[in-house]
Amino acid sequence: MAKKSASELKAEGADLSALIATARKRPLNFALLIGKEGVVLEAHPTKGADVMRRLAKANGGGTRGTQGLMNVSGKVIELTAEEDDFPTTLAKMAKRHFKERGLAFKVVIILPSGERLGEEDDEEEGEEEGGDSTEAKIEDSPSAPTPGTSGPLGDEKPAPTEDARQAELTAQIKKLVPEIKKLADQKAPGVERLGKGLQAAGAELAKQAYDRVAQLLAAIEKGIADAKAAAPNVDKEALRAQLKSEYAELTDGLDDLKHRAAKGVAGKADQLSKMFDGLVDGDDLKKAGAVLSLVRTFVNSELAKISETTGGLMDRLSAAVSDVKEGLEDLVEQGLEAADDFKDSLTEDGRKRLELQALGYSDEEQDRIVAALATNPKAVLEAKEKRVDEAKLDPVQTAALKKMAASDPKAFAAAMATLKTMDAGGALDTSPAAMQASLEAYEAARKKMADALAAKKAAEGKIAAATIDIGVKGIALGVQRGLAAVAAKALADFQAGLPDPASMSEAERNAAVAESTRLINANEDAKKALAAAEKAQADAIAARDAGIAEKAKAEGDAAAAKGPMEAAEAANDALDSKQALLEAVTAGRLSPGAKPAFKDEDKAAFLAAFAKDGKLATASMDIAARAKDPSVVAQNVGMVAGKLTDGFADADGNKLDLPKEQLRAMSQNALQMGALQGEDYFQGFDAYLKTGAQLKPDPYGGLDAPITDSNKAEDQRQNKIALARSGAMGAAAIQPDGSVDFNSDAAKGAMDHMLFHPGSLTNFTPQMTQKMAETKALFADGTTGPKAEALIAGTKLPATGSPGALNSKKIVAGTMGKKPGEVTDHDAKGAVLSAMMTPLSQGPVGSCFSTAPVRAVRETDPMRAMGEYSKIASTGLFTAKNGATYPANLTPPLGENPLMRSWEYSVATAAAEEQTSVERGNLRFGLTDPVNAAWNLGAMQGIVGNAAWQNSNDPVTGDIVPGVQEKINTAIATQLKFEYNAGPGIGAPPGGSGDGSSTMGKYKIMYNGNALDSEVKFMAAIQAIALGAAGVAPSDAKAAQIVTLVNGAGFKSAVLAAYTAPQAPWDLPDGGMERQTAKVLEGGTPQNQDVMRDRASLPAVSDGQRVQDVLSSVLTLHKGMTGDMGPLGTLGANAAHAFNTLPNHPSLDKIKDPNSAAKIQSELVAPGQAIAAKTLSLEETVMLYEKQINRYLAKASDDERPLLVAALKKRPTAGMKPAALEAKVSAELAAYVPVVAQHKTDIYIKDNLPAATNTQKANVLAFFTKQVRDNIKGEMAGTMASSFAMPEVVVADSNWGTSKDQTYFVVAPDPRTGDLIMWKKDVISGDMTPLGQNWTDGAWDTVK
Amino acid sequence: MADGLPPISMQYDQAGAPIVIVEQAKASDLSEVIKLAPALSDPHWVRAYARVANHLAQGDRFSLIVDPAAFEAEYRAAFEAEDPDAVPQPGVMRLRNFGMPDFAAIKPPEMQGGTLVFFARNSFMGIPYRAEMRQGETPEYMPVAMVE
Repeated sequence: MAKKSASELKAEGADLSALIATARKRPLNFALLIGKEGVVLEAHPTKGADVMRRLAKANGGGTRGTQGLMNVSGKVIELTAEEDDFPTTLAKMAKRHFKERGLAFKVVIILPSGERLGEEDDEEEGEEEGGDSTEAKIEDSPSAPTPGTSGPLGDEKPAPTEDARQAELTAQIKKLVPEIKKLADQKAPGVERLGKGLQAAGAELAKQAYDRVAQLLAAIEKGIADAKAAAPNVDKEALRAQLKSEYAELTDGLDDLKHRAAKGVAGKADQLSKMFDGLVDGDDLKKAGAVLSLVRTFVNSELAKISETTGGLMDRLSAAVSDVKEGLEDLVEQGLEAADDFKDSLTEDGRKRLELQALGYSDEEQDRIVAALATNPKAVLEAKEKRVDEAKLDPVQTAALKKMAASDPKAFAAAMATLKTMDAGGALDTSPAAMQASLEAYEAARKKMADALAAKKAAEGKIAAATIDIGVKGIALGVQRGLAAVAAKALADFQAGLPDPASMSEAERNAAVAESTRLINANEDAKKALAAAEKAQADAIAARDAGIAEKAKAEGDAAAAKGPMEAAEAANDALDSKQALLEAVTAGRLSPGAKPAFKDEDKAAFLAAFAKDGKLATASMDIAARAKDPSVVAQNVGMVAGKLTDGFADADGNKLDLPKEQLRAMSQNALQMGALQGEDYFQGFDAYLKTGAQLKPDPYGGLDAPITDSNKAEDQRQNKIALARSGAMGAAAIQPDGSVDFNSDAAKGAMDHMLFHPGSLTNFTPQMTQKMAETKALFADGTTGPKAEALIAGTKLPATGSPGALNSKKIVAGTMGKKPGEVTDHDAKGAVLSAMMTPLSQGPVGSCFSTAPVRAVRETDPMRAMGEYSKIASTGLFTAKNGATYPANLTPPLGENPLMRSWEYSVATAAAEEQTSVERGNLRFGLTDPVNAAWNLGAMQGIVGNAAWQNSNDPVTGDIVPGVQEKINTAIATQLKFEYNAGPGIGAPPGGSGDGSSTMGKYKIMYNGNALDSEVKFMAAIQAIALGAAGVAPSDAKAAQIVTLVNGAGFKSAVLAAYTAPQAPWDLPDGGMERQTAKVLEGGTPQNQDVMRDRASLPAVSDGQRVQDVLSSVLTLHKGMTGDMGPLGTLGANAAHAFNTLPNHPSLDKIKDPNSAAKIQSELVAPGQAIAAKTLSLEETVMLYEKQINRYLAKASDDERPLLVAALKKRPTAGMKPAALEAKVSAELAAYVPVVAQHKTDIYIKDNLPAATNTQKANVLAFFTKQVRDNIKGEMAGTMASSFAMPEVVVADSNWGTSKDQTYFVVAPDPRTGDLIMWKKDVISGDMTPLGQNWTDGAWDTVK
Repeated sequence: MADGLPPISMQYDQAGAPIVIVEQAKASDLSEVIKLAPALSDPHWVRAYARVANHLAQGDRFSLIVDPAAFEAEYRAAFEAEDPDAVPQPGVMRLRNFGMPDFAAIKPPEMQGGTLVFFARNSFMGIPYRAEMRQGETPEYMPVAMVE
């Protein structure tokens, strides 16, 4: 058939374009059929797809194709097919068809199964653009066999086996590689696409999609052939000569521009000349041609401009000179002013003038005020106070600022300047009513946006569900169509085949009528079923369409809500900033007497930062208060706040497109990191952002959205990020020769990423960053460096076949994010560094007994820890101090550092085996002690007889045949398992900690997977073991005797004789295995020793006195300790925990002997009592109240926010004592508690008890309700303790921590009561929460 | 020589230390046992010998493997019975903590030259170890290599 003319194609393109335009607005029913001239597409918004199919057929379509629903979005035409019985290349054919008609669209056909055809077309552009590709030919020819299937004539060869096919295709790919390479060397056109096609073929081969590979290779071969054929047709030299000739015609113009045009234009002319000269004698004449074209356009255009504008040139030159002059004058002016200021700052009067100048006093006023100093020494101060009065603040704020004017002149100036900036658009009203109104306005605007986004999400869910439904219904429809066709045909065939009724007998007629009736009914039924299926399909499509419409509406609503919300947020932020500044000055960290006391210039820096972002400025003061050097934070907060306001822009002004809240959190984290690392951090931060590196994606996932509906999944996500970071850092520090260099470009780049990248500042892991810095320091240190280098040099994967080889590879691979088969010695080295750079703290499951001693080694002897990591990486084995060897543990919790956890878990395995051996020995003793043989299992000898009881020998096998006695021992060893349970989960009565803090650890004997946690269960298990060992049938009299024995009172007494009451085999002692772990790590025979007996066993004392007594006992323990960490344990109710005390923590110095008890009183107790007794000012009360509520608001879900906003409305109106304030907060949050508890319950149930019963759900809800309520009380107490800089002493490292933070146990007064209590305190965030009296009431012990 | 081995019983003393009773006589080390039951030195009784050596060295911490096929079957069954998605806990043993051993390497007890070689299952972990005991020494246990 003759090819269509361009105009014909254009006309068809216009029709198609109109169709596509309609489809953009709403989905269309379509039919797409293969025709002689490509494809035929018909679509309509209301007429059915069947009608479209008939129309397409009438317009030249064949029998093959599909129908369904058509959508267009952007450059993608999406066709949801009702069936999948059509050539898979239909999408591609349609795309080509459109392209030939000038319409560049991607065509994706969605099959009923959900599979998407045409998605991958981009990769195959080259192949497709060949025009008549092999695939097209295959599909255009109805009789051609599909590649990989047999032909229609039965003359096909047997299909090759999968392996053979793979080998054949692999060979074919290999053969094509050099050919493409050769073409690439020749710079053949389209060679890049051929290369990509080959890559795609490789990828498909890996997926075993052999047909696809064959198709791709055929197309590539054709492409190669085309490229080769094209090559000889080009006479390169002739073309080169022609290009040079054309260029020569332009050289005059170019020279003209070089001499006459402006500098930039002349430079470009020169550049183009050089570019052409460089290309025209090379191989890429196509590029030379392109440059020539550019030269031509450029020369003509620029010469035209010169001729047009020469007349006005002098005028513009004159104007430019004038501009420059004015600019210079401005600069000179500014320079002179700066010089004056500098000169002023050298004299007292001058300084006064500067202060006055900052407050807006004119030169004359400054002269007058300074002159007045001769008679009125307070003249300057009064002038300052005047400005404060003019600010029209409330009396307390006014008084505070006036105080500041007298005590901190720089801070005062900064405060006034900031207030002036804030009020530049009119005085901001920060009265409680105005603040609340602003907040509520913001919340209302925010809610609109939240509702719109929620509606959008719901609509997307609906669309997704409906799309699946369309597929399912499509399949059903296809089936019904088939059935209907079969039924119709059967009826038609039957009717057509009926003979003349007259020729039929009565019986035949009756039979025919019956059959006809049956077929008619069947046909009708099939039609009905088809109609129902069509309706179901239409309903599903309608549901999807409704979803699309809802989504569009929601998007519109969100777009409409965005502007008002941002405006309300900005207005609210402005008020918040001013309010925060005034609170800081009146009652907060910048108020008189606040602790720690910041320097004047630091206060000034904080106050100046309020002008940029009040929330960040407030947070920065808290960070500075905890920092070693608050000035470092103060002097950089302005720079960091600037980064926040400019969107973390690079030197060219390119910004991050992230929400402001996220940018603020990143800024806050940068300040926190700087507080930990010092001034260098801030310099690095500034430099890093200028490079634009922050605009690159985070390969470790730090910028991915958190998972909010599963704590487990979110923990795993964060672990994976941390693991990827430490692995990358470890790999970057290992050099090609295997040495370690933290100063290499790669290592520096990795460290910069850790420190400064938005991903690292969003998913913030400062503990890990600190470990990286520590590890780096180990290598830099003169003493440890060479040893560390030697350790890494000696770290190599074990020889294949050695006992731990596979475990080593698995652990190293897991640590470095590789597959076991890929790892090398360098990875083993990198894994050791990765483990060293990962904080070793207690993981998500209870493990304190092993974590505590292992963490102590890691923290106090890092070189030993590195050695342990190196051994595991190099051998895949762990060896305990007693020489026992264990395969290194392979199963860390998902995402955690495998090598780091392998060490800890291997130690735990060895310790648990040790403890199991002890427990098993006890049990065996109780069951078989010869002394009690008359009552325990020894009595079975009399029941089964001596012959059965004793071993015998088997002369055939040369083995000992066990008798009943030995079978019992074997059963005790192999059938009874001893398992450590770190704590029952929430919902299991009486309710465990469930948070991985391992505060309820306990040993249990397991039998057949069940815990023997009651006497009945235990006795039943022993009875079963005894009967099994005896080998007697249940009906045997001996069996009855054994049952009687085991269930007798004497038996129980004999068993319990091996235990110390109240312990029993079914109630083993609480607590972990600190002693056994110490033995595994250090050898010897360590024993538990009392530090403090439990409270119940001692004379009654008050709660506060009990804490003082515990503290004194710990101080006494410290005297006998060496090193910075020592084992300590508690055995309180739900407070059984092993951890490390910190005998050398500097906070303890103030209460150490001599006179420790008196010091505890004066340093801790007395200040606490004073605070508890004090009525806080109204400003302090309100500030703390708001701080606490805002803390919850910052992380609240949409349904929690209104409750918190309502609580803010009920701000205190009078000063309160701390206890009353806590009660007020608890009362106002009463409605908030159940909502949060329910959220926590939902997440917990989803993570841990998906099949929970209602009772379990109720238990979990009760647990969280209490927890949330208690947390509010505790966190309020903590907020007050932090704000008052309550005196504290750090007594222990809890083991609890992550890559983000680490928790200490501290003793400090409870601001509500003044009593000393124990707290949890996060080292980096500074958050404090009371631990509960149960912690101090239990016994305290150590291991020596 | 296929006979001459007196009755041997593996027991524990009051302190829980493993001992061996040969007929009525107690022995707490292998040389004493050999004196009481010289037939143990006969390679025919190598299984009994390994059993005694293992008991004295490890008590019930290890149990002798005499039927590698049965051990493999039990191990695989126990491995498959574990929940692969269970959250690992330190000190709680699962075979998946370690992997699948090289079962082909596991053999019944045998003498290799003057060295007794046997395999034993660790009671706590459930994984196999290879033990080697040179004459006059105590056995040394090393984990069997994991291959999966």
